[in-house]
Amino acid sequence: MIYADNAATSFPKAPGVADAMRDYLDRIGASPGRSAHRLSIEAARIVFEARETLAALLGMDDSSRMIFTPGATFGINAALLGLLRHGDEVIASSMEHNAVMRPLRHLEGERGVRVRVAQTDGSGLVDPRQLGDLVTDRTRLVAVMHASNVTGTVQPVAEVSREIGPVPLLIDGAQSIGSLPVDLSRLGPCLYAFSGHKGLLGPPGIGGLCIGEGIDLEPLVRGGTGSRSEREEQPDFLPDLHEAGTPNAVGIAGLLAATRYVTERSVMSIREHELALFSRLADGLRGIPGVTLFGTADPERQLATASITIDGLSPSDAAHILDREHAILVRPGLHCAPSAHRTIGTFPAGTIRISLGPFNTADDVESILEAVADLAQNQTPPG
Amino acid sequence: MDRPDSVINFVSVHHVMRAEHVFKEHGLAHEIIPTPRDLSSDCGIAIALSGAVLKQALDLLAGAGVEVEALYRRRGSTYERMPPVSPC
Repeated sequence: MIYADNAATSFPKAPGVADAMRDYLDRIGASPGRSAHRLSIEAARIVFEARETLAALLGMDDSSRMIFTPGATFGINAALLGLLRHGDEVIASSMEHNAVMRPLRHLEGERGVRVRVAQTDGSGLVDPRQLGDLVTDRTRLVAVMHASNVTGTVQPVAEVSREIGPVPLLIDGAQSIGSLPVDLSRLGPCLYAFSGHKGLLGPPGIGGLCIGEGIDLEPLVRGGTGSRSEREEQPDFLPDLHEAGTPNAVGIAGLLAATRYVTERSVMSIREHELALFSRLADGLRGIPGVTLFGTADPERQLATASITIDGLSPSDAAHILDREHAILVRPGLHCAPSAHRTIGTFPAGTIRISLGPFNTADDVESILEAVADLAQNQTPPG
Repeated sequence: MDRPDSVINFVSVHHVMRAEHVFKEHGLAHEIIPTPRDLSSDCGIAIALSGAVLKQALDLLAGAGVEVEALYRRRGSTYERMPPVSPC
């Protein structure tokens, strides 16, 4: 079996993730820092260590500005609902996932937020200058996905940050963390939302939001934090302001093990591995008659995610045959990103997305190419 | 460790963990304790240490940028709040 659905979630997980989670559940179990006994303190140390390790990976000076969330979607919602007010304007690229577009459409209706969509080119690449030109004195936020979950297109977020100046940049890092080097200290004001279960190779249900210096967000959720317990108002300091309720410590324990693995293997070496796989995959796919590959032509501007269509075969049929006949697991359809598919011209049928990860091999790529070539040649929907 | 007669309070568990990290790095004796009930319950846990190393501890925290919420000294079975000690 070849797992090529890493853009949805990574598999397998990093070595040590399951052990760390089992260890937490079997040996620790307590609520981090809520009580003062040894197990609660040990749990708090795990949360602290995870926060510090993630902050270091992302180039953050102050780890208290990285809050844990159930995932990237929650972090994006916390950023958008916590920042945008009536009359604000937000600019989003046309490649955004529904994790961004749905809360934005909600805010458009509920709070009168003006949503402006910046059309990218057909490869999904944003134009930083265009985004800069769209900024007005009402623009409260610009939202750009670091790397597309549909085409794998890597956006020039540093250039975007420069072009939009003091306007905060919301970066959806769901696809980029662990797969691309990220250094938030080199960007202007920004919010970076990520999930732990994709490029970080951790468990689902845990992620985070990095809140740049000088950016204040209203909390999405209020409740117990284990601090200022005598008061009925939410504490105003980070990370507690945004972390009400018992934390997902077992998820954080798994995420810590995963982040340590990614840090030790190094994001650069993962990037090189995935780039080599993708280059061969892209070259091979382009050489198969009847196959169209989307995204940019430059592998340096791509994650190891290839979106294709095969003439005469629907994406869902193709994915079904790949699974049933070749044991190759991919994802067909719209990938929760209708705007991105409209941008690249594949709405509503979508594409077949082949997304590789750090544990895929060169042999996997050759097997995928053989299978796709077979599909393109035979074009017979499954019976 | 000498008798831990001083207590440092922090606003959050995150700050306590940062302080612990700094103290461990410098081999400074300390203990994490439940915040005594008669102190402001800034956060459920606090750090107790000997008054003999309190100044050193505060200097280390200031150097690492860890904000201290309040200081207390044990007086028998109660605690009295100490004025802020400015670091070197």
